[in-house]
Amino acid sequence: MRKEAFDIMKKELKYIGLLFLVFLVIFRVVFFKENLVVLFRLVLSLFWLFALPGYFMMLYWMEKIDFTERFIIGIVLAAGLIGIVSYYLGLAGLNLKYHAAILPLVLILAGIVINLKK
Amino acid sequence: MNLEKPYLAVVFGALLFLGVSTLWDHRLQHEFPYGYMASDTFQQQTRAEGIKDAGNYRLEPFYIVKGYQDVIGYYPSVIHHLGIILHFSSGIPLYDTIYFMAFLSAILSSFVMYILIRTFNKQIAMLSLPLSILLFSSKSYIGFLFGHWASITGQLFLICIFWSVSRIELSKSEILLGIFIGALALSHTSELVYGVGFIFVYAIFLLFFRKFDLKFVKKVSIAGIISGVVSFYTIFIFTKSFAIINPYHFEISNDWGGTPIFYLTDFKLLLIFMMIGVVSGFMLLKKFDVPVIAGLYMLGIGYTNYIGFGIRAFQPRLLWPVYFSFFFGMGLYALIKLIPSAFRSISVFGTGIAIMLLLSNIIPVPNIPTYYKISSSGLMDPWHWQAFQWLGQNTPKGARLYFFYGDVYDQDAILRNSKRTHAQVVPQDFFAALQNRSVKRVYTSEVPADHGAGMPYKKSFLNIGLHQVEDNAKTYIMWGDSFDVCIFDYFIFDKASRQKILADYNLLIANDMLKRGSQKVFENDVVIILKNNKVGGDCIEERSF
Repeated sequence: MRKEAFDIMKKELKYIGLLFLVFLVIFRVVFFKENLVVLFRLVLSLFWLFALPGYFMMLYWMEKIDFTERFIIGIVLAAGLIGIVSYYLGLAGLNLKYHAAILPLVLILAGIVINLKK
Repeated sequence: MNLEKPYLAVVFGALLFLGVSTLWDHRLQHEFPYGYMASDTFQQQTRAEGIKDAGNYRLEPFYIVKGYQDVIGYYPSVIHHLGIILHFSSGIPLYDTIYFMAFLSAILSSFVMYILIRTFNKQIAMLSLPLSILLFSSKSYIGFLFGHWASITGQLFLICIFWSVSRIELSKSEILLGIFIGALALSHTSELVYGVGFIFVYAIFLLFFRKFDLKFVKKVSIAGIISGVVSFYTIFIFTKSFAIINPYHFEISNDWGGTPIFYLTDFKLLLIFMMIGVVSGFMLLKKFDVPVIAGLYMLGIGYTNYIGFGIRAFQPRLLWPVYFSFFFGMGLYALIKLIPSAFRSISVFGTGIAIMLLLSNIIPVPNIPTYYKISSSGLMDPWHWQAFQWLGQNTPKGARLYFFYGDVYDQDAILRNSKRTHAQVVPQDFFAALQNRSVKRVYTSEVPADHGAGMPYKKSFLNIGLHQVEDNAKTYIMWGDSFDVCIFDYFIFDKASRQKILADYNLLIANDMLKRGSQKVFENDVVIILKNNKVGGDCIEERSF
């Protein structure tokens, strides 16, 4: 069962890699006057902050919800969690400038751990 | 052939292009806040700047609240935090990332509604999605251009609550529901009432159809506990500030302070499909329960202006194209169903693309609402931005600024970009002085600030006071409505105006101040800043000219 889950994850992470490229192309076409480096940084940030943490958090429902639905709802789930946790971490004294590095990592790890336990 | 994924990519690209790219001149980063059309956009942007500078949102940036240094951060701040984190991650200026997050929230709303409808029927979902283009029709676009960003983010989480309820049978779905309710509370508190109300309405529906069970109660209760823990602090501040300053009272309101209001008739001919969708949806209520109930519920919420909700009723209307998309898709599907099933998928794809072309006005058709093309740099310009940056970086934190007349200063949150306590001349008094051909020392003035929450501060544990209620001009000078300008540390004059005489009068005053010992510390083609070297003294001579 665990191997099966890892196989699905491997396959889906390839989809996410492909989606990253698709997003990059979409952003390139849509913001055609923008420098490619800026576009790359933004798309990479969107994936790092929202898409990847969301994907891993939603892995728990892998068997019940298909990839498209998990990917979309995962993005919003990550946005909600990052918004909430960032607010309270800031109040607790951790400067916001560190949150972009720490929070997605924590959510990704939490998603993996929860899924492993399951 | 699976056309869903390319279709979603096309719609995502189209929404991004029509919504933000065109407004932003097809660039992601700009030299100054770009496309900011009203005071509230700057309200959001400067609050985010203040949070970023402080590294947290314990306190409200002092330049938003008349210079008070102890006002608790009271505004629901998810959008600000997301904008800041995206800024730190991407290196793109914060004034761009926070605005981008508002657009992304709206686009994500469409996609969450899509997956919600897709749970019931993928083809209806595909037909529904293009209606979201109307998020960027003239009256919905106001939500972005006028700064209702927190509400838009809140409504994204509201739609996630609809989705969570539709998936309530999933194991641990209560965790998702709880997080989304919590995120909504921290995004825009008024939508929280709508979210909780929806769950209540859905529970009544379950009761009516004898589907209500203990499992539902248990899940909703756990979600309530999670969201309660997440949002306790925010709601506590809200009840001690916003709720006291803006208590509920019954009134019928049809005015949004001059902001155009979205009406059902703005859907024009599309209403025909939507009406078919409402009737079909109602007939199939048991099958399509959540999208139908959510759509009708948000229709009702949009009319709560008749029971005292005022602006809080008009804001949800901004996302009506998303809430009603199911009805639109259902209406179209009723026609598409007449096509033989072998051709249905391709018909759905083709119809979806055709609807996109119609709504984006590439194929103009009368009486069909369309995307509103706007491309403008907005209220800010490079010269003012340079001046604001200079003020924020080169004046002491405790300095007080006085803004003389400027064409865009009536959108007063723009002045918060100075990051200093500030006051500005009331234009009518300024015009009167000009007409009287006089130079004055005391002007009728205003100290722009956010008065929405009463400026709450911590008195003691769980005891919050409100500066706005407790203080006045005698206890704190910045509550005054008329100022001797000589008490200020810096004076800001616009050298250019749509009416040249106003700029000339500004320069006349500036020259008089220079003769009295003030010092020019900054100048560009549009703005001049003087430092007052005689604070409290005679910085200007009153005279006629």
